[in-house]
Amino acid sequence: MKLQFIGLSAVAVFAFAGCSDEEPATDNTKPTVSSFKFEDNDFVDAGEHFDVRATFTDDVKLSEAFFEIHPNFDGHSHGKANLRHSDSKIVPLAGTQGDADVHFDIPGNAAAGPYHMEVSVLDDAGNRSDVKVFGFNILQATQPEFTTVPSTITVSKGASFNVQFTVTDETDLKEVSYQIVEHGHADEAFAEGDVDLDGADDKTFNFDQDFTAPNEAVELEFIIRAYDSDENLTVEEFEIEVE
Amino acid sequence: MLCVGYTVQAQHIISGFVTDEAGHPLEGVDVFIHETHQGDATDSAGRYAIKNVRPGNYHLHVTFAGYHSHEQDVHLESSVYQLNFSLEETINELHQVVIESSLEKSSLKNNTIQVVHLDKHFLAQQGGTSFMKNLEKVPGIGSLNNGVGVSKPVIRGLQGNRVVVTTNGIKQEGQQWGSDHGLEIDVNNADKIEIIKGAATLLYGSDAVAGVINIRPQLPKGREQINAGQVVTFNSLNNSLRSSTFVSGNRKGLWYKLRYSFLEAGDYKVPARSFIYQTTILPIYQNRLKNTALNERSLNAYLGMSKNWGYWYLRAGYFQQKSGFFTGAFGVPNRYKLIHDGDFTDIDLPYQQVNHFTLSGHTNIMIRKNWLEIDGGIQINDRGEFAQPHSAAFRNEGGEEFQALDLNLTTFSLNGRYFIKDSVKRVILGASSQYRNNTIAGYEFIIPAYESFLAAIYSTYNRKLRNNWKLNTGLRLELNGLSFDSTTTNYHRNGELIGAAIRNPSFSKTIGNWSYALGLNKELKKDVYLKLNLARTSRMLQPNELASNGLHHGAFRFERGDIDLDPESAVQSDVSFIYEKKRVLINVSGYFNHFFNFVYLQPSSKFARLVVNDEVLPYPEAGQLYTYTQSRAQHIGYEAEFEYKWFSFLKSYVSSEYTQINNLSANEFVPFVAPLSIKTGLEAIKKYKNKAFEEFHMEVNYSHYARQDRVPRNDIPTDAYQLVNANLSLYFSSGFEVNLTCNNALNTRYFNNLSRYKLIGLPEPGRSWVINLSYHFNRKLDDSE
Repeated sequence: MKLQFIGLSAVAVFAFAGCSDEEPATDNTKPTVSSFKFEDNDFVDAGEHFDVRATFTDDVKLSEAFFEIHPNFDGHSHGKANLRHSDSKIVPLAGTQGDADVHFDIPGNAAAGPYHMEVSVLDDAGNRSDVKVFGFNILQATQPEFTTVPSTITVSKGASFNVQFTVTDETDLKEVSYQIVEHGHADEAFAEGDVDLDGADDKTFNFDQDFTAPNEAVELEFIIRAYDSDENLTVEEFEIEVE
Repeated sequence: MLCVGYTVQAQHIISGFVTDEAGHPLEGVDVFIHETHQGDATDSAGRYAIKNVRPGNYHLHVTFAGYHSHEQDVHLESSVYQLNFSLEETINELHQVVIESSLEKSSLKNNTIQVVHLDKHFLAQQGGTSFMKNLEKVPGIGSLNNGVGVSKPVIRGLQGNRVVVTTNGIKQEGQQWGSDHGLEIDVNNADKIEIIKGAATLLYGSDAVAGVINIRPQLPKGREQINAGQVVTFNSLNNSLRSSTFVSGNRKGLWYKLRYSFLEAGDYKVPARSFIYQTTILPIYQNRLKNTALNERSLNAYLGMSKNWGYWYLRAGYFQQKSGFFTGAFGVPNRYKLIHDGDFTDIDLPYQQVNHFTLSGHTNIMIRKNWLEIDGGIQINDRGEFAQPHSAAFRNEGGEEFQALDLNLTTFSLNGRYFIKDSVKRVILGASSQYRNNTIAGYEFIIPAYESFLAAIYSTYNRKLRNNWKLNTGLRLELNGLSFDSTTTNYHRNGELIGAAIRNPSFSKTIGNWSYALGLNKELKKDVYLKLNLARTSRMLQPNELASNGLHHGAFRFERGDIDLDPESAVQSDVSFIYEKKRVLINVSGYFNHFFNFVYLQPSSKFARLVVNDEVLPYPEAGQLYTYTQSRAQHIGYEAEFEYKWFSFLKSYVSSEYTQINNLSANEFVPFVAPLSIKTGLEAIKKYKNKAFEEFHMEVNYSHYARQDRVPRNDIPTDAYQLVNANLSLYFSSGFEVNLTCNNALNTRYFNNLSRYKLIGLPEPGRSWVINLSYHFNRKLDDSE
């Protein structure tokens, strides 16, 4: 009886042992985005076009490349988030080296602000490259404008300081916000705030506020962001040196 | 229901004494009739008496913590049935508790499959952050995690649609295919858990390819009693507070239970100051992952009756969980979104919210000395994902602006089983049916709205053979009808509607399906068993495999189903050897499964596209297209455990497990499979009889996980790592319990191959402390009627 059992067990375990334990497939090497550049500038006017050029390599065979524009705005939206522009293009490639010249048309109503251009490439075996991300800006003639923004403020530890600037917009300002972050430590806002401008006709806003510097020598960044009612965003930064 | 077959009978009694091996009476031993839920606990003289039993065939369970469980078939004809038990102490309780509640309702001695039973003491000692984390000590069991609050069961490397989870015998249905869809389970309501490793499709349906997790809340069945309890758990990992309160009672066979639990958890801590999205280094403020806070609310209510003709009970369950998605792992992260918002406990966009409602009924009635068990229920699972639209191309028209996804699944089920039993054989004849209706909403699309109807009949046959052999075999036939209409989503450009994109075709099909199993159990000597199982399984495919066509944000890929896929069929085999003596436990299992057409996501060489007005467009933000594909696959592995009891109060153990899934056609490995691991530990247990301080339990364990190189393309290997966990538990006779657990005591920085976060360089949690305080009040009532 024992022999029978061992026999049965052996059958079960080896019944499918004919399936060999093969080594994994050959091409597991990622392709790479070897170079990328904005043909003219890393900013573009709405209604204009925009050209980029990239080159790609793979050890076996390239398949296709993906270019994508998407907004790099903050988390807020103001009812017209659909004007934030996004677009993408797929470019077929072949061989072990390939390049792509890509032309993007930026619609005239695209919201002004910071955008990302993402580039990645696939090879013929389905390996995906790292995604390369490049920042650029879309500009609108009517986007909010900052005037009298200080260049740098120098302040003593623990002392109070005043920040003043003016924002203007041809249409209607919607929100002005600020963040003070430590230089190189963008994870923590030392101070932040926002002002909602609900009225329908806010063409000018004067910011005037007092702050107290931290009790240590540190380099801070003061980031100002202004939205208008067309979802156009303008971002400005200046430094605060605490000594 | 009450009057079914109920006639006035002479009162019959099953009674006797329970002692230890030396003949000393044991107090508090549960003696319980499986079929009627009638029962009693032994008094100080070791005596029990179950009164008012009708003549018939019964299955009696005798269970007592720390001792071998007993089970006994009883054919009651005379008016007094005298049955005495002598219990032996056990080295490992996980194997010894009789599977009183599973459909197999048999023990190690009679079962051919591998079943592990976990009780609430075991679960409280683990100190895990989620239901599945508490089960990971069991060889062959793992969890797929998305942060700390959401975890999914993995059995022998398989997960999702291939694992069945039941609560009170009803299969949980809650979009279990999704890798970030956690279980809708109140951890505290799971007093007892049974895990079946290996195919169990005959009784649990075609999804039970890898195994089953049965959740069995403790119900006040059996003796007359009144209970109440409160558990509070604090976890330093996410400063979470979990609280659970219950009250239950049984008077003259009418019983009830009510449990309410809640969890409030903040952002969890990781041993990292930054992570990498593609090539960009992004910050983590104060080592806490932004927006990973979560909260849960759960209510479970039971009402039941146990009489000599059988029992019935109703369950109403409600579970709600809201959990934030880590802002850096959902879509493309940016610096602004990762700035600390001043609050570690708020849940902001993006987040998911799930509401799961269950109403079920269960009954067991005697028909001509045999038993008919029926259960049925309705489950409503509403799962929503909320996020800023990733692209201006898709948005909710008129609907809620941030509702990315709403999957609303309603499931009706009705199951019946008839048990026929005599002294040599046991037969189950069963039928089950399930209807599912899934609706969808939101600006994103992943699976279509669908309707599914499933009907099955099955039979199992269990027989004692000569020379201590036992045979268990059975067949299940299933019929599954599935249909969905084609779905479109509106596509916008520059703020204007351009047209509609077709997301899935319409589909309607009815498929027949069968599975078969054969199991043998040989008792070589007393407490030494050899078990062998062979099964043919065939899993019905789910709508995600047939028709998904959408972006999976966390995985940065686009997933597409294929309506031409066939049911996933396999031949499975496993062999186990179990040796259990006073000081030694050896349990070794090996399995070898061959899938003829394993379903997996195959990366393609193309980026995802969609067609709008006959124009082929790149899919916004989608990235690479992955398609559900079938391949021959080989699934092999083992689990091995060795325990040795050095002294009555000290034991040590070593266990090891390994799984490998080879995708033979694509010549690749399957993702998210744990590497080889070896766990070893030392456990000190001291029990004090008749003292205020009842039991002391201390455990330290050390685990080694090997490097995992067997990963598919576009996945990354994980390095070897070692973890140390420690636990101290104190039990008082007053009903007070203290559990103190230290997870990852050495604060090891490591990556888990089963976590998607490895792809963005986010390590697993570091050291954390868990304090679990529990008090329960338990009083046996005077049973004079």
